[in-house]
Amino acid sequence: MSPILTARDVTKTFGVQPALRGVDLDLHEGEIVAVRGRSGCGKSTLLHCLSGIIRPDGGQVHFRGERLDDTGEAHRSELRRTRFGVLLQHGHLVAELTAAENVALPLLLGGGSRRAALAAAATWLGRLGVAEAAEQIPGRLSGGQSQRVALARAMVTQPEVLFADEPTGALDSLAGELVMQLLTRVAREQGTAVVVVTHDATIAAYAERELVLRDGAVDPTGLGVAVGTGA
Amino acid sequence: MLVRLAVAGTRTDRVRVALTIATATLATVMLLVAATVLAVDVPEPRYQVVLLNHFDLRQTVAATLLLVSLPVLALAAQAGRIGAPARQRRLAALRLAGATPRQVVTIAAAETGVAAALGTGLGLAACLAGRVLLHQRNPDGRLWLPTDVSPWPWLLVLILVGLPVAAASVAALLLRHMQHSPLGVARAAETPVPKPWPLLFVPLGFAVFAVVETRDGMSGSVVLRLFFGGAVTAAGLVLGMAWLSHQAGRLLHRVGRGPATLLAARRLTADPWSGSRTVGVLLVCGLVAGGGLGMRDHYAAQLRIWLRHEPPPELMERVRQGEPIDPFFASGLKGISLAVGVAAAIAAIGVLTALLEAVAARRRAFATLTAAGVRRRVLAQALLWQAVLPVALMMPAAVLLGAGMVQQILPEMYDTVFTEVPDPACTGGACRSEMRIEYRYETWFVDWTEVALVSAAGIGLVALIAGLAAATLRTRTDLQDLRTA
Amino acid sequence: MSASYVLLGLLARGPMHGYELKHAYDQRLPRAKPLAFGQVYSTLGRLERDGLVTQAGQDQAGGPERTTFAITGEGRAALEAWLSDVEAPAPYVTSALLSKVVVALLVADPARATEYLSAQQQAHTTRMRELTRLKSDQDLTVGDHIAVDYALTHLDADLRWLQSALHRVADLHREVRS
Repeated sequence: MSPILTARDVTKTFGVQPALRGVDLDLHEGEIVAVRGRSGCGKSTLLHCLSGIIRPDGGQVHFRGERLDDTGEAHRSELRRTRFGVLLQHGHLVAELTAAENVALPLLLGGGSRRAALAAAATWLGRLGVAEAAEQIPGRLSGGQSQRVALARAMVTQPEVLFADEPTGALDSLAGELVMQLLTRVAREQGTAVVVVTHDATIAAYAERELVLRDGAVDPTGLGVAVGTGA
Repeated sequence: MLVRLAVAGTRTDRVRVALTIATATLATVMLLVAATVLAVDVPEPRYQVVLLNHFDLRQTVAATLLLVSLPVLALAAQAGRIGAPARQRRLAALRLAGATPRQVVTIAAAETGVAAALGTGLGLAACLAGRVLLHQRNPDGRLWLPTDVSPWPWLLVLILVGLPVAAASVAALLLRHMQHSPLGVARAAETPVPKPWPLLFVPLGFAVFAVVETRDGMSGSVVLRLFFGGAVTAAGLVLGMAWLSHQAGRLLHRVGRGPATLLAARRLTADPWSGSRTVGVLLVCGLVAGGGLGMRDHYAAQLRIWLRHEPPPELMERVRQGEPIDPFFASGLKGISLAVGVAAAIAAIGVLTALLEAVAARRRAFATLTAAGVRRRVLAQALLWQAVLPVALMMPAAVLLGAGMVQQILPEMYDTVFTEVPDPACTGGACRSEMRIEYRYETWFVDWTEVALVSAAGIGLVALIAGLAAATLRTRTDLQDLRTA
Repeated sequence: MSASYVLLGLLARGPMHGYELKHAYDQRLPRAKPLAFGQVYSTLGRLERDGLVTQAGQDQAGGPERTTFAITGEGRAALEAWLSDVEAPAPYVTSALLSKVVVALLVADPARATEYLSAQQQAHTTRMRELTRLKSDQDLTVGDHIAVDYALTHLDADLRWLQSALHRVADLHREVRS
């Protein structure tokens, strides 16, 4: 089966330091992949490049045959809204809207009807066990609850790929476990492929395979550190 | 849906919207009144208010109104910046949820544009109501104010449509960086070092004043040209403030000694734009005040010339007692002083809101410093330095600039001097003496004490407000703010 | 018993007296139980019997302390085989794991060490995945959850320790090279 998302030789530099130095990645349909590495190894940058949030300086990213890295911002926003889902460490929910409105947001931005969008939001909130939080604003929710709301927002458009960047970073272990279990369960049910970026091995263990980055490049040994070379 | 998003907001956002509406209303009223005055076109005195009965005085009134509306417009622009960081975050979150750059910019521009339109509408309503309410005739059949005149249609449309459109455009312009990344301010954005080129607007605006011909009096188009020249100068001052604050910060860093100056210096260099936000309006007021001082000195010079030619003793008596001689001058001066006072009050509001917002935005930084043991008094001093230094440097310059610009457009004055010169060739008895007529140029610019007073008033105002904002530090540096926001 | 292999690993660098061997062992594995003298010689004896080490020489003073031991070809082969073997990921840090990592880092060349450590890490990771999948199982009792968590936490700790050990050695190598 051919991969739905491919990255070839992706490079990105911020200022002087290269954040990514030629990374390749293949993501297949419905697959759950973890990207691991120490802080500063470039894994978040890789996620941003894969999901179209930023444009790489070099290399190519293809999604279902279509090139992602050289299209305009408007098109990439569109893609992010309809076919990708993004879940970050701090949910980035709009603080002034209720949880239900936040979840409905991508649908509304796409021009959908208010009623349909809110209904879909309610369904998803129920699936993730936070139905009671629907009318609350994010500030009143616990960390675990707001991350589940953010997950609902990421999944409401039934994306083909879910990008998660340290989704449990701000949560305690039990809340994090719940989020990861729900994430993997709904992803499998929807057939959504997942790319999880984390430095935590217990979170990476939820994936089917993992890619280890070291200083912006893939480390085939999986160790993330060079042995005996002082790197 | 977008409307809902545009409207969603916290108390800070509501303050911003309210202030935008209020300033838009005020600006509209002033502009409409000025436009009405410009449109008055009657040969003989028809109104009770003396100023409106003569062509050039009318133009002066209109020009004054327009110039005073500059600070109001500056305040309106500044009002749009209140609560900017929080709004930035909200818009970044929207982008992350998939909103396109255009949608996001539309939301922000719509919020500002709608608020401004509302304000414009209220201003129009206020003017219309005023026309009805102030339409009184005294026993002679004279109207008090020109409530029977309407402004020129094209000017009316320009004001009513132009104001909201300009407001929305400015809002959209300020958000253009949202085009690039939905992470918005996520990556520690290095604030761009301000460049000095906006200061070029200042000589540009000045040049407009130098070039425009006012010898034939001030027609409507001349007034408008002067208005735009003044606006360009004001914009140059406000925008160039950022560069100046940056330089002032570097200077302070080198010269200052204690922790307060260090904090202030670093703050000025790191965030020079906050300076222009805070005192930009006040500088524009200084500019206008300077213009007013120039006008006052012009009148004073005319008075000097008149008095030199021996006016009747009764008038001399009144002058010695300090009574105003000429009703024209008196009303003119009163009008200008009133205008400047109003502008200063407006500027004070602007400075206060900007400072309060700056303190609120940096709550966490202040709380951290307090927790680390920095005394509140040092923080207050730093705030004062940060607010006062740029103003102290720029205020006198703004006042002098205003006076200089006014000097370009007011007519030069010459005093005729008659001297009896005895005929040198004649000796002896009844010699004829020649009467020589000289024209001596009467110098005028400003009364320097008045300049000092106005500058000191402006600086003092900023210091006072900074002190008030610093007093709120007490309630705002609760250590509770150290919890992860 | 892994003490044999540690001694083999130490001898792989060059012949040593028994006395030197004991001190080297204690130095390299300070937190482990120190090797008793008797144990050193009984282990060496066993190794000699199995042909993995040989007595390389005798000092004139005589007596067991002064005998030099050296590793044989077969000894090297046995050491290789032991290093190639991955330790079963178990929920408690076994001294075996500790010894193996130490030997790999301090004795083997970087390529060899990388190979071993990479394989070890893979094994741990695979086991963690299995345990995580187990947790998603619906009919797990609280006791089961707790047990699985125990295992996962310790496996995670192993991996983290491995990382820091790698870093320390990397620093050490850098110092030695410079």
